[in-house]
Amino acid sequence: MTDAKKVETYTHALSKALRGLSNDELSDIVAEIRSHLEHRAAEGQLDAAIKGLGTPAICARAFRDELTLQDAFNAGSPGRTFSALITLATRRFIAAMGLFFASLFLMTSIGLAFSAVAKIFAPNAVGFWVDKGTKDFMFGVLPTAPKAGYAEVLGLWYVPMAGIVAIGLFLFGHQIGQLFLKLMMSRHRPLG
Amino acid sequence: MNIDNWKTQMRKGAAELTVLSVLNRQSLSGIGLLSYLKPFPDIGLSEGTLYPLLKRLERDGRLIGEWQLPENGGRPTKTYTLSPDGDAALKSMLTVWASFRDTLSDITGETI
Repeated sequence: MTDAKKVETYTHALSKALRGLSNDELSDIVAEIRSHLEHRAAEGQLDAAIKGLGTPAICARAFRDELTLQDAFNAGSPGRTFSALITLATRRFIAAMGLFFASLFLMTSIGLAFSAVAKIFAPNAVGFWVDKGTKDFMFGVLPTAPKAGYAEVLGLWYVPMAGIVAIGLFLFGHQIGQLFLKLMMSRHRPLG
Repeated sequence: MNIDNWKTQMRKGAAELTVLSVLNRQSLSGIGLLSYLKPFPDIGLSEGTLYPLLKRLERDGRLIGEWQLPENGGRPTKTYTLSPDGDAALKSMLTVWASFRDTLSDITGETI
């Protein structure tokens, strides 16, 4: 295969692997990689250049990961943050860790929000109970009546308080997710 | 002792500072940057990591990328220049780096 054909084949495959990006972005990336390969081909270094870039799929993934991270971080919305962590979690350990910790707080906040709503419809089954003697406590939705000695202390105040804590946990989980995105942006994974 | 993993981690954090520092001295293309960094293999920036990084820095507004045709003809090349935002980011990074380097030197006693 001639060098020109190799460049054509590589950039065509790269272009396909980058589908989904905006046309401007895609053509800019492909043009730059084409320029790089043609430059190296003129130096007789085309095979080494292709090896350095990795397969078109690997090269495209490196660009996609960078852009996914950047978009999610700049957008700053919880949806984009979780979406980026989910996308990257299968191949980057830091993303998997970020997803784990962010999800932990997200799930807890959803549970609390659910209990806040449930308190309105089933006030006796939901609450914050404290044992007067031992000061042990429990909260949430109980399938059965609490043990003797436990008294519910918040009443309907449980609704706003659980709501506020749920929002706080959700925002904290989002911040944790953003922190992991930032960590990934500052660390460039070598190819291969 | 296998020190490669530690070296890889150290390089990862240095890539952005390296690119901004070089482009602060002169505008260069991706190829130009790779040539500039060739005598410094410890930096560990390859084609596969450099181009996605340049793309991100350009989208972040830290670099300005411009396609240029060489005066004597030939293939078009994308040349990168540090933007005012990139210059400010570089100054901040250098301040942090200098402090980190001094602290580490104090701790290790520079026993190399």
